[in-house]
Amino acid sequence: MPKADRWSSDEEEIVLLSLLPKPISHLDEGTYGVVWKARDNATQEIVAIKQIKFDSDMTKEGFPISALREIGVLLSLSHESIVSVREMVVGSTPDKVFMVMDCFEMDLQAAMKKGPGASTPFAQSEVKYMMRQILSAMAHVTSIARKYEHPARNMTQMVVTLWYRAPELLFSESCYGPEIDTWSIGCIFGELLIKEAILKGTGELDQIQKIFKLLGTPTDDEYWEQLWSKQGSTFKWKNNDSDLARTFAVNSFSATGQSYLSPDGFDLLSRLLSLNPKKRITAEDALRHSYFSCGVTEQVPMFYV
Amino acid sequence: ISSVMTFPPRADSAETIEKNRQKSEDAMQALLAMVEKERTIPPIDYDHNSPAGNAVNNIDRQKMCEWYYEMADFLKIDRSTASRSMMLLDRFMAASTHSHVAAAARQNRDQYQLFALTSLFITIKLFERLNIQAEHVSYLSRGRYGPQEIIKMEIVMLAALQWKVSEASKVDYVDIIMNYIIPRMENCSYVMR
Repeated sequence: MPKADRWSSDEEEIVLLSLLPKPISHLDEGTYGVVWKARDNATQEIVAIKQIKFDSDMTKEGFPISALREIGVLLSLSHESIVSVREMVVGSTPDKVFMVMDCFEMDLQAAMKKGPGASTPFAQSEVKYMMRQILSAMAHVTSIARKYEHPARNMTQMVVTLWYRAPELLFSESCYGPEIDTWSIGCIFGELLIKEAILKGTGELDQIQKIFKLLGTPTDDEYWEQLWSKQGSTFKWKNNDSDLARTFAVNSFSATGQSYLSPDGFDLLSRLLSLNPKKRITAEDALRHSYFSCGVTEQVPMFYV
Repeated sequence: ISSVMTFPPRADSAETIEKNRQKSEDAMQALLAMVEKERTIPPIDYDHNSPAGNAVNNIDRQKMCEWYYEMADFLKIDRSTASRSMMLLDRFMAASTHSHVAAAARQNRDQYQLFALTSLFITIKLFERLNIQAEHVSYLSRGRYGPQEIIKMEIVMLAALQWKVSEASKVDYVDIIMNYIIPRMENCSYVMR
């Protein structure tokens, strides 16, 4: 284990460590700060160093809440499919704080668009492999992060990137839990099948329309009736039937640009994308789904190696 | 706690039994992961120190603990946040082997109290939706410690704790153990019938 003070002396050293003087573009400048690629002098390993952005008023709220929570959560998790924070380094001044993390050449999106074999759909065995990784990581997060759950508390709906945001959040549901994450995983499942985001809304209203177009409008659904009546909504949504089966062809080798999808796979997809959050499958149950126990065996995707 | 006190309803079908078995199994997996993680954190020395040679002792700890719960009620925040503040403070004091600031806090009651305030500041930011500022924490100390002192100590404390501030607390352990036990109790009552 390298000693933290190796890096803690000043920021210059971090810059010297860096292989590239500029932030790496594909690791991009995230919400919380700039990501650098660096070499660990003790182990010669390549790591990613993320500098925490301090744009909030430090003199009032101290260390930024969002960064504090992210660091705390990441450090409390320990899962083979979740990026680990190796150590935290504080620079010469308290506003220079760095997270030293495992370095990955690309994220899933880049692998889909630019990785080896990008022009053809993933093999179904590869999709299954990635889905298991994602779901088992999510099951771990759900079990560990339960301490952040405060039922009956009003929470903000401004969470999750729009394309992956669950329908109930778009209707201002303020009492939510891990179901919003399994919805996002459903969106990712669809995306892995066609290598394209499945619900690309241009705004919140358009996102709702795209969701109802793909999955149908909720009819005779207790959850949605309650949510809408609670909000006093009188707006009538155009009745649609689900388009999911037509969008994702089952047992078809001729479906162009789509990975092969077994009936089990389709069943899992539709359970993850359940409009009713109370009926949406949990990550734990998804891992027990026949999709994983039957059919082709999983295979490490080509871009991993 | 009240939900724990009432005996769980009986499982009424093979399907419920299977669901319960899975719930219980998931809780056990989560518990094992928590225990595994716990091994990576230095243990807490609940006495803080031996009475000899240290200014801060167990009585100070007890006072601090009571103060945390008073503050939780006063601020109308969850009492588990008080428990977490105490845990962070204990862990920080236990870090005195590698942190000279923590070692110094053992010898100085003023420093100990300042870190106690800082710990509350950190846990509220982590677990509560209260929009807390250092100024408010300073107010809780009746102005004895200024906001800038608290902000300065925040980074010091986080570094000494190696930023491990969201680890499982006693409350989390109780919670997960109950999640393991209750589905099993339901199933037992089914078998007994």
